[in-house]
Amino acid sequence: MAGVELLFPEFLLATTALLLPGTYLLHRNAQLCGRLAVATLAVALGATWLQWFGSGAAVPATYFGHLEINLFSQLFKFAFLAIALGSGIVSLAYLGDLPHRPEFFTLLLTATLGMLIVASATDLLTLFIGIELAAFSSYALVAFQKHDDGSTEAGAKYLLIGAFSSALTLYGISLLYGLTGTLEIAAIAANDWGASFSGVLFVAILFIIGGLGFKVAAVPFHAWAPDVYQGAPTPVTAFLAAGSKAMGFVALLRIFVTALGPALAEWQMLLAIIAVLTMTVGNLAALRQQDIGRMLAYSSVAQAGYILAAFPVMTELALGGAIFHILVHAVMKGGAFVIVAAVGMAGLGYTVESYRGLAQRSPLLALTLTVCLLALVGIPPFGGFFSKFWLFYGIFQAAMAGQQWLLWLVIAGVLNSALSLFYYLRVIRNIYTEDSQGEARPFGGHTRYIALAVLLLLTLLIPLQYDSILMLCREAAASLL
Amino acid sequence: MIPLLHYVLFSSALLLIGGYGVVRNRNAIVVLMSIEIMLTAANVNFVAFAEFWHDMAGQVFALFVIAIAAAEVAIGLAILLSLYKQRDTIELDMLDLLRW
Repeated sequence: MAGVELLFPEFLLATTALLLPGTYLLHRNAQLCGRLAVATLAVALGATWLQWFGSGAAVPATYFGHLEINLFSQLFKFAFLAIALGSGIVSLAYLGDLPHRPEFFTLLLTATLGMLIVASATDLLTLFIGIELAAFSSYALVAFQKHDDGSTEAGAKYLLIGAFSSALTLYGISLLYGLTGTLEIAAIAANDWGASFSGVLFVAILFIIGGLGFKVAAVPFHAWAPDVYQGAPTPVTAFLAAGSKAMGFVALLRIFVTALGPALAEWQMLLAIIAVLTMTVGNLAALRQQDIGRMLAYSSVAQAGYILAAFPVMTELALGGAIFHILVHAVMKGGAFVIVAAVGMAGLGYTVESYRGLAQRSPLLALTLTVCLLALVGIPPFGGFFSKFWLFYGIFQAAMAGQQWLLWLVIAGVLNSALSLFYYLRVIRNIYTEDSQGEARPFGGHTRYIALAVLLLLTLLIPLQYDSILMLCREAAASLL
Repeated sequence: MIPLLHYVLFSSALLLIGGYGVVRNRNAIVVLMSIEIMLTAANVNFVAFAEFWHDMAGQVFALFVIAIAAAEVAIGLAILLSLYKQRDTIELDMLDLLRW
């Protein structure tokens, strides 16, 4: 079959995930299994990079109409593998010598595999199975520290709410199938919906938004996010905040922009309202959080609102900006949680107060966290500014081109960004102005390399290369429309 | 030949029963069972619509959903078991360690 080599990362991940438990049985060396998993992710990441920039990757390859590898899927496959690699490396240090580490890394690999499948799925069956594979693995990852009350409780909540939401999505998909008679996204997009408003289609859309809204933590389906982000092992939180959220957006983009794009009138206003609600509620709730995980979780809810604002617009520029922001958000939020993990590993705790005098303890971690937080607000020199700017500019342009009411999305977004500055500044003030009480503590293992990579991405690579990244994102968006 | 509408009404009823169970029950295992009922509702839809459109994809989807539902219960019971070992209860009201 032509182009089968483009599926190499998927095959590699599946094979290693199956081999890891066996390796542990033979060698009884958990650290080896962890390293093997991280090496696998690194090889898969390298392979995706080579296929992307190497030979013949620009040619889209399809596999029996279920998977399609094109620019959009390569972009997100690369992002998912990078996120998994980062959180895998942090996990190696974070888990220490807890039992069952081989299982942890096996689940990390299968969760990543699910995300890769979502990135290239072209029918609803494959998309749903990819989502479920990633979701089931992450339920178990969240509940991994089974002697820790918080981790178990977070796992149980995540499981019940996640299973409920996937049942809703599934029912929505079944209604959509009943309306169109096909599961292929391209065939659903070709369906003629007519000009009149269809009640059944609207119900199907409500179910699908209800289900996928949980994945991206959109209001009013966001209640699980703070609990799970606080309770889960922090590297898993980073993986969920960066990877699982991006996967939810990939699924939303596929279903709404591609499959239901012609039925825009049915869901345009609904998603616009959800977007504004999501950013406002997220930011207001973040203002009064004391736990850093919960604060970042609510900030993550708010960011989901900014990204959702691009959906009702449906122009190439706005969606390109949204894809750009999804990727940059993964770097910013993932990076912030890596620092949270490092501070937690050093035994300093998980509240906003724990960050007092971090600048004296470790200038690199302090600087990286500061840059991540400022980038999340969208302060100009850092990476977050560029993605947010193009996202809002895309909406603004569409508003000027005719649909005046879209201007409200931009206004809400800008006001919310200003509001979010308050709670980020609280952490930054603690980092730099307060004295650290107590002695210097060692910061774990390879975390500082991840921190350095995030720092370089946000201060150098994204700001200097924003035009070529934006071009890529716009091409990816064009392939969706 | 049973008309399509009957299947759709049946599956909507199943969905409502499942949804009611999820919202009202305080026992995590019963909630998990209610979610299974909701998955079954979607399955009924898939099979009925597959017959209606003469398209096999819907039936294949239903088979996959059965497998997914089984996996979900396996993971769910494992997590609830470790919750029970921690707290000697799986009442959902007791899940209040993480709040606000």
